[in-house]
Amino acid sequence: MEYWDLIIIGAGPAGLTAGIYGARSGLKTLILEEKIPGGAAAESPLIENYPCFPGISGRELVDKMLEHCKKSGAEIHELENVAGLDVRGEKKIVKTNKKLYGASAVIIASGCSHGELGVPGEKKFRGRGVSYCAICDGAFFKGKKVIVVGGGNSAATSALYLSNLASNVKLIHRRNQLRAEEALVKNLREKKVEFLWNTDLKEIKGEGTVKSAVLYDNKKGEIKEVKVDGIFIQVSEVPNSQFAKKAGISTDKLGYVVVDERQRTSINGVYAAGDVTTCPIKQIGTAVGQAIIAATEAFGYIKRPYYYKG
Amino acid sequence: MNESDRELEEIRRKKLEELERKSGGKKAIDKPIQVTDRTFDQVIKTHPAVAIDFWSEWCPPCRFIAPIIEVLAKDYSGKVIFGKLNVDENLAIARRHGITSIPTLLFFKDGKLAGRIIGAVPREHIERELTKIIG
Ligand SMILES: Cc1cc2nc3c(=O)[nH]c(=O)nc-3n(C[C@H](O)[C@H](O)[C@H](O)COP(=O)(O)OP(=O)(O)OC[C@H]3O[C@@H](n4cnc5c(N)ncnc54)[C@H](O)[C@@H]3O)c2cc1C
Repeated sequence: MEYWDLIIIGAGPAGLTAGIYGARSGLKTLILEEKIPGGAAAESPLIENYPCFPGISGRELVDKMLEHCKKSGAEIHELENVAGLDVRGEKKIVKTNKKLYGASAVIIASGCSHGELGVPGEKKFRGRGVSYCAICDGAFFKGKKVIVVGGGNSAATSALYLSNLASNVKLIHRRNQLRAEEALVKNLREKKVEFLWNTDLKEIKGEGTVKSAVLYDNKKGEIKEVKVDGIFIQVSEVPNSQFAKKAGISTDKLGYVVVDERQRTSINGVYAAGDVTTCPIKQIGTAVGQAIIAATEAFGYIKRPYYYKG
Repeated sequence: MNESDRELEEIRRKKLEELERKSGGKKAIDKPIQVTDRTFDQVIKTHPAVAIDFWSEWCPPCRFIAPIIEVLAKDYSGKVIFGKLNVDENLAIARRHGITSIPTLLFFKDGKLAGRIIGAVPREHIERELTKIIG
């Protein structure tokens, strides 16, 4: 079995940062990435809140992180997904679709997947008007009418991006205000994005492709149907933690991996960082910060066991 | 199809075969070929089994599919032709097939649509669709 000091699961901002710190502290470090490096951050059209970069595309930022990480000496395996863990013993075993690895410590940085609404029509019209990634699919809606569902930063960023392409953008949110940054909200107003507050998307209708959306005003109790060509869903995400849960690592009700202030999970030698954790802030900066703690703690756990006991 | 259509078809087929011969001798195509709105119909008509990857430079999950398609083009060389269609430059064919999300893979058997995969999926998933258009 191939053996590593530190195995990191996921190569988004958290995983890549943990890779930099792990490798630089002298640990033989491997990052396993199910897809290609970058994670959710690569889907952000424009990032304006990550220090040093007042405006950078997500793709550009993660490419810089990736380059930095490789330079530090961490090894990255793409297209290799972690299917199972055995973390009961001192030596951790990581099972992927390709092989088995041994490691002294593991950092879970697997982020989240796009959340679905579960409304009628969503599955049927996926890829036929229903989308989960504005930067991927925006071009199909040049001059068309779209709806963005959600109230957080990623919904706001997506709506802004689409406002440069679509003829009309409606942002619908179940509450009466957004969770997104005020700076983004101001831009949305300038771009004439329409806000529909207290509104739930109830059903997606169409013929071949999406033609209309059934909206429910949860304050007035009214239902209406609006004509629309595209629906971008940017709602609560689902943590990629199945493999961790199966291995006996504590998760909360929603599946987020429970961590303490040192990014330790419920199992010794297993750490977690970024969007997959219970940390309520899901941003690149917080993912990076958590990963630094996780990698530094993992180093201490491996190299200074006496100091770290208890 | 009427008589002249058929003739045109025959000419087209011959031309394409000639092109293929020129580009790689008798060797079967083992790399994805570039497809545009203009060449799309020709490609799916001239080859019995075709898989087209609709992609764009700006789409992260497309970058996930790309290396898988490269490998499949090699592994299925002689059986399936893999094509890549960049939707940034070619929207018409994507529109015709109601595609609004990428990556989307379309599978054609004898020129007819036989399968569709939307989103980034593992290799095995794609292979399942490929078996439907081979033979
Ligand atoms: C549209 C959009 C806009 C955004 N805008 C901003 C912004 O402006 N500013 C900001 O700070 N944040 C923004 N974010 C949030 C930011 O992208 C995330 O907070 C950040 O990417 C979290 O990093 P992470 O490394 O924890 O997880 P991710 O980036 O999700 O990376 C996790 C990685 O793990 C991989 N993985 C999952 N499961 C497995 C497995 N079993 N085996 C191997 N690998 C696995 C995934 O493929 C993925 O690459 C935005 C997000 C979106 C969607």
